[in-house]
Amino acid sequence: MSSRLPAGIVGAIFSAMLLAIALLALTQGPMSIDSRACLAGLWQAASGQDITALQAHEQTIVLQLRLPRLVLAILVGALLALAGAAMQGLFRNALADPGITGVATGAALGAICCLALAPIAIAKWLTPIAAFWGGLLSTLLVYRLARSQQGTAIAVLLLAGIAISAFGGAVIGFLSYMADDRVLRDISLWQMGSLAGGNLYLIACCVGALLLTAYVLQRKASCLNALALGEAQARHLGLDVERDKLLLIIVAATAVGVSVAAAGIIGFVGLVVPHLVRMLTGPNHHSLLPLSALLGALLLTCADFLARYLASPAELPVGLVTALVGGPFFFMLLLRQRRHLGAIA
Amino acid sequence: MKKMSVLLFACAFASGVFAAERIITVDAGSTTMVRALGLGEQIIAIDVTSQQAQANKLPVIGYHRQLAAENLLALKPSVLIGTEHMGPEPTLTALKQAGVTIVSMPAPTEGAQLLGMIEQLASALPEADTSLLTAQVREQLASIAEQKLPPATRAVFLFDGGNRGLRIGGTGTGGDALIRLLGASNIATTAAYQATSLEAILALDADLILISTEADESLADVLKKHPLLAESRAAKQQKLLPVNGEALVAGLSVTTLPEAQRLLQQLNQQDNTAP
Repeated sequence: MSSRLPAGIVGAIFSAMLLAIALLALTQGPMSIDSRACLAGLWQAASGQDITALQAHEQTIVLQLRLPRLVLAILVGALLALAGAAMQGLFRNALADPGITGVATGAALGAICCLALAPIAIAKWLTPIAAFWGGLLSTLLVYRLARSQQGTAIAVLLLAGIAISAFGGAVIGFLSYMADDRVLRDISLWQMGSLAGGNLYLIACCVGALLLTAYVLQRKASCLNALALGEAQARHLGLDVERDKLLLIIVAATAVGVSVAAAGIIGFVGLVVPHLVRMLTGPNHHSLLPLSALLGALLLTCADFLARYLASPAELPVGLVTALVGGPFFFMLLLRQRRHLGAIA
Repeated sequence: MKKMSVLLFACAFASGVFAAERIITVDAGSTTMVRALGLGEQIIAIDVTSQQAQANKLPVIGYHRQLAAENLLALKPSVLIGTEHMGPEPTLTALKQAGVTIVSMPAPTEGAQLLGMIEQLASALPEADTSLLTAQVREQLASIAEQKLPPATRAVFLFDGGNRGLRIGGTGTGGDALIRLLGASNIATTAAYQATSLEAILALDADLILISTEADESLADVLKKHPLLAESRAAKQQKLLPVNGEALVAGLSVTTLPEAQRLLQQLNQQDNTAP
C-alpha cells in the first residue's frame, strides 16, 4: 500500500521517457538519416529557414512518414488509455477494457462494411467516418438496452455489450466470407491496427477528441472516485449518477471511436495502462487520468517503434505487437487479481 | 602492353558494361514478367504474393497497398514495378523523390495487353532486351488464336483451395482470363473467386472444366481428391483438365500463355481422335 510513488515524480519520469522515445522514433528508422539533420529538418519545416542538408526524399520521410506516425501514436495511446481508465472506473473493475461497451466492434463493423461494400476510391476517406459512427451508435444502442426505469445496471450494460459484439462479429464474418481476396486482405489488415495512415484530417480529429476527453474526464475525476464506492454511496454523496454514467460512456466511446477510426483496432493499451498506473500511484482518478494518458502515449510509441523493426523490410501492424506483449501481461494481472474479483456490481 | 589493355577492355565488355538495376517487384505479375525478361537476378525484393526465387531467398516487403517507404529505401532500389493499386501515397512520393523509377502496370485481362506491359517495362529498363520476349509472346498469342475454341463452349475454372474447398473463378480473375484466352465463355458471372459446392459445380453442366493444381499433380490425383468431379459431363467427355496453378498465380501473365497453348493442343487432339 505504501509503495505508491508520488504522482508528480511519476509524471515527470513518464514525460521524460516520452520525449526520449519520441526523439528516437523521429531520428531512427530503417533509413539511416543523420539525427541532427532530422531535427533540423523539423525546425526547417516549422520556421521556414533552410538550414539543413537533408535531401528531398529524406525530408519527406521525416515529415510525412515518421512525424505523423509519432504524433498519431501519442494521440491514440493517450485516447485509449484515458478511455480505459474511465471504463475501469465506471465498471468498478480493473480488468475492464475500453471496448467493453461494444464500441470497438461497432467501429469495426462500420469500417468493414465500408471496406467491403464501397469502391476503393470512396472507401479511403469514408472508412474512418464509418468507424467513428459505428462505434458511437453501437455504444448508444448498448446504453439504451441497459437503461431501465431503475437506472442503468452495470451488469446489463456489460452483457448488452457482449451481445452487440457477438452480433457485430457475425456480420463481420459474413462480409469476410463474401469478400474477394483484395477486400479480405484490407479487412484483415485494418483489424490488426496500423499507425501508418495518419493524414492531417485524422490527426486533427484525434487532437480534438483528446482535448475534449481529457477535459471532461478530469472534471469528472471526483465523480469517478466516488463511483468506486458503489452507486448507492455515490448517489448519497450527491452525484447525479445516471447522468454521469451516460457522460462517461459517451466520452469513452468518442475517444475509442476516433482512435479506431484513425488507427484500426489496437488492443490492450486501454486495459493494461490504467492498471500499471494504479499499481504505481494508486487509484485516485485526479492523478490516474493524466498519468494514464502519458503512459499510454509512451507505450504505444514504443510498440510502434518495435513494429517497424521486427518484420523488416515489411512492417508489422502495431495491434499485433500490443497483443503479443499485452496478452501475457493481462493473464498475469488476472492471476494476481483472482481473489479480488468478486461479483460485477 | 597494348595487347594486355585491349584484352582487359574486351573482358570488361564481356562481363557486361550495363549497370545492374536494383528492381523491387511489388506484385506477382511484375515478378514473372521481369523474370521472363531474364532480369531475375536484378530483383532485390519481392512482395508477399510473388513466388520466391529458387536460389537465394529474397526479402519480402509485405503487401503492395501498405508499403513502408523507409524499409524500401534502405534496400537502395532503382526501380519499383507494380500495379496501379500500390500505396500508400506518401510512400510513393518519398520513393519518387529519392530517384526511384516507379512503373505501375494495370493487371492484364487480355493476352494482347501483355505486349503493352513489355513495352512499358522496356522504357523503364532501357538496358533490358525485350525483343526476344515480345517475339515469343506474339508467336504464342498467334498460335493460341489459331486454335481457339468455339465461343459457345461453356467453361468454368475451379480454384482448389485445399481445406477451404473449391472456388469458382468469376469475372476479373486469372481463371476467367484463361477461359477467354482459350476462346470459350465463362459460365460464372459473379465477380472474383466464390466458394462453391460440388453439387453446384455439377449442376452447371459445363462443357469444359479447368481445375488448378500443383505443378506435379495429374488428372488422377485431382479425381482422387474430388472423386465426384468424375460424375460431371465434362469429365466423362475428357474435358476436365488440370491447369498448373503456378502459371496463373499472377492472373494473366507470360507464364499463362504456354499453359494455354498446351491446353488447346490437348483439346484439339481429343477432338481429332474423337469418334
